[in-house]
Amino acid sequence: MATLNELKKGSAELLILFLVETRARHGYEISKMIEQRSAGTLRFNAASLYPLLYRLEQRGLIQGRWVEKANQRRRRYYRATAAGRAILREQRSTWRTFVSAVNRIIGPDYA
Amino acid sequence: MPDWRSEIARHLAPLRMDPVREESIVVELAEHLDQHYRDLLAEGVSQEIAQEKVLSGLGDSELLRELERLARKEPAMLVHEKGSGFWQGIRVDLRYALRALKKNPGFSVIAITTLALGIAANTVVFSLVNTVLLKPFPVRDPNQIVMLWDRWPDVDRGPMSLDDFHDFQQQSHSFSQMAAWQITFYNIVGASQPDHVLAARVSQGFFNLFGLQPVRGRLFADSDHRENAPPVALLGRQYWSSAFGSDPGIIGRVISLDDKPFTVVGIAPAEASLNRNPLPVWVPLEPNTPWKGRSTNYLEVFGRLAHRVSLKQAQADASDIVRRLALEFPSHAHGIVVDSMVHSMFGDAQPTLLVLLAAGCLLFLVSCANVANLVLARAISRRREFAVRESLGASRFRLARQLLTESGVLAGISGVAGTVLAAWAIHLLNRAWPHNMSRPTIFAVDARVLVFAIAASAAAALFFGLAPAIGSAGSSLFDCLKDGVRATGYGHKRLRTMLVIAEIATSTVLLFSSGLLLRSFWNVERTDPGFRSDHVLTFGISLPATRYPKDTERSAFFRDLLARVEHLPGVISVGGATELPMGTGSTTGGFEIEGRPPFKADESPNIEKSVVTPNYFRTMGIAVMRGRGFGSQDTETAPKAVVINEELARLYWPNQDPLGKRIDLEWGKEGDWQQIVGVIANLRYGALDKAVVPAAYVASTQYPVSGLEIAVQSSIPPEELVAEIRDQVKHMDSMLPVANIITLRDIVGESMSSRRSSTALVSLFALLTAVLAGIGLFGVISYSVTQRTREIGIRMALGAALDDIRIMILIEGLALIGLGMAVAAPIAFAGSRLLSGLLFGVHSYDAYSIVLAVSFVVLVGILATYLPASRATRVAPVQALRSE
Repeated sequence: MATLNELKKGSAELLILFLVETRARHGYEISKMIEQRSAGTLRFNAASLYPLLYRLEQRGLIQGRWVEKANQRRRRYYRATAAGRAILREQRSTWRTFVSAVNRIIGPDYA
Repeated sequence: MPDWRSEIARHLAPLRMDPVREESIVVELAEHLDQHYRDLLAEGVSQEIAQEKVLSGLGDSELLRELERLARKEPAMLVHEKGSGFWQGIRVDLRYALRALKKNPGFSVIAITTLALGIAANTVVFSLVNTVLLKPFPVRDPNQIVMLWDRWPDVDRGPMSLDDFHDFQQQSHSFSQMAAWQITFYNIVGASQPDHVLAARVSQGFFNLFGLQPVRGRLFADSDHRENAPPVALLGRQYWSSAFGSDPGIIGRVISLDDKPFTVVGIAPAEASLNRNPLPVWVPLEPNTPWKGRSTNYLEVFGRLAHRVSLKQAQADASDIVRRLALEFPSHAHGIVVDSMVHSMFGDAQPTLLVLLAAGCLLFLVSCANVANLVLARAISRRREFAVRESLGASRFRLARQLLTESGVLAGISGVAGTVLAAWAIHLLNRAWPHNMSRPTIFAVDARVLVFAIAASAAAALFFGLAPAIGSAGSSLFDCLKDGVRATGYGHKRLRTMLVIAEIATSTVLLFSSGLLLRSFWNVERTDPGFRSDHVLTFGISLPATRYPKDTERSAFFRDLLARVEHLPGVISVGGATELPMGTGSTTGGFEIEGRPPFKADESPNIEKSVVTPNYFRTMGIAVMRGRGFGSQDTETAPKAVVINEELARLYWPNQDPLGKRIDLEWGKEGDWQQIVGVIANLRYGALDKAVVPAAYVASTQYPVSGLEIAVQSSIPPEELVAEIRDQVKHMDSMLPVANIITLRDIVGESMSSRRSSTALVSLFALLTAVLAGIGLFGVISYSVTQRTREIGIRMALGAALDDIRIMILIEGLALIGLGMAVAAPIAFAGSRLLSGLLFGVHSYDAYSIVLAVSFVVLVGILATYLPASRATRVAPVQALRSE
């Protein structure tokens, strides 16, 4: 599934930014949501997810914060920054344009 | 719940991240893994599978690779390296090394303990040997000083007579200087209380020969040695401080030695006591010696070798002189031995020290081998880490430096621990070392030895740690990442196995040796000394001739004293003798048998002679085997009586009754025959492990003496009598000191102390070595089990019973033990020859010791193998098959 892996890498930033756009989520939640919403097609293990999160944070697109909620252990929650949301908007439209372009070529039936 | 954190930390370790950042990542990822694990369990997945799945989420080296890539863009993530200098790098390496040790506490504790033990053992033993053998005399050029001993048919090294000494001084060309001394006792009055002390009478030039200077005042001048010179004395430094409170005003004051006035002219340095306990008093030999001429031998003679004269030349020269003297004085003919002072004075201690030295070295070697083994194992498991780091751009030099630092840190910590341990052990040794044994100086940790031991252990750790790492860096990165440990472990395993076999062999040898020593110790302790030692107090009284000039006065004094002591409450019996067994002095000499031609010079017997009071045998619990002991019938005017021991009877009257035979002990006038009236049991004179010597006893009622060692048998603890005995003596003569009040049990105990401490040390070393070998074996078998997990899984899947697996692994361990023992056997038997001087009633091939060594090693081996064996059987077949 090398191709799917490559696609996954290309789209990873977009997926994460999307999930933390409107509310803060912790790493495990993010990986779970990606897995569930893609019906198991897309999966990020800890080894690849966290370096991604750190890179996004380093570029100032998301911001992590340690939060301690009642009856829960300390967790780090990530949320998109203004810059992150701007990038997300840009990437989302680029992605849509790209997908529809690809679909027009190979046909919607196979998408 | 699995320990996610340490698993993650292990993955991150090679990166050397900023600790705060790393901690944050570890916590975050651990939380992730934990949640994942719970979810899997909730789905009904088994614990093992869930754990495996979760851990696979960390990827093989994915996390490390990703973070490394990230760090290139964000250097702040890593440990902040200010500047990039060499020292900066060392600092980082140091910090990382410490963290690596902390992350692997099992390895660190074992490695550090092992090394520290080895360093301490080696340091202690070398310091001992160094103190006693290598630099025993803090005097000028001690190795140029020799001692001259008379050789008689039955005495290898005897003292010299005054005239012989003077002849040597005049005729010998081998020595630039010669001097002699005699150790004696004096009753001293002038200190806080009358005292009976050791003293040295020294010849002219004594202090000069050793290059010694006075602490205060002056040493003896040549004029002090002339006849009729005004009597002068020196005080020993220690006695000056203990008895005179280091009073500088003592110089010029007059003290009394054996009731004669002496002017104190100076304080002698501690070094002048040579190998003895500090001597309190010094006087010039020539005016103070009671024995002139050639018939009394009592001087220990020293010579400083002249320039370019060898020991051999000095011996030849000395032999020439005694040959000339023998022509002139045929009745005093004897041989001569020239020997180094060090060997003369410590020859007896040498075998013990060499054995200790050998044991300490072996322990040290085993500890090095063990650490090498540990480091090797760790290096193998870290090959992958190094391969990854190299692929990420770390230079091989960088990796080597890292390992170097780690070995250094390991050796450093062990060195500190070893030093503390050694200092503590030496402190104990100083306290435990028998006081009556010659002790030149206080033992001290020898810095050179310590440095050597630390350096050697560091080198061992480094060599074995570095070699495989360099090897791994050179081998294909791909192989390492792909196959990990398996592909390249074999060569190292063989090396490790060989190390363990060597360890087992060494510990077998040491255990066997310690078995021999323990058996000897046991035999010595079981030896019947021939007298009873419990509830007996002893002390010495010596009457000065000035105040007790007549035999009758002296006899009256002792009769009175013994009667007074006998009447003290709790006293059962009192007896006295000129020499107590195992005590300080001894009088030996020849004798004649009536009706038998006198012994020729070369077959002259040497027997122990004592004068005893009538109650002596009873007080000491010495059995009279035939005839009688002394009694009231042995008066001054009665025929002279003598009691001999069984050994003397056996030697000269084999299969005959010695009673009634007459001998001459050459005690008084010529032709003064004593009739044998009794035979007593043999006593051990020198020590329990010394051979029985022939001995003869005469009665103090017939042969008055000026000094007696008195034994008091009591029904109460003998220590309780000390004060009352002192009171009684003081009451009779307030100027008279009571010497050496000590229980007989303590005297016997002291005679055993050297054997006790050497046996204890060797046994301790042997035990430690066996434990270390056990740890080594444990490591090798564990490693082998880990490697064979897959094989074990297959075997179990195919229906092998748990016991089969266990036995298979036990056999692997036992095979190594067997090999080790096979190697050990010839070495152990050859090595026991080194011990021969210390063995007592034990054969070198002693079966008990063999059984002890073999069973102990097998026991340790089974313990060390059992753990990994039982762990192997707990492996689930599925997991085992999936391993790697």
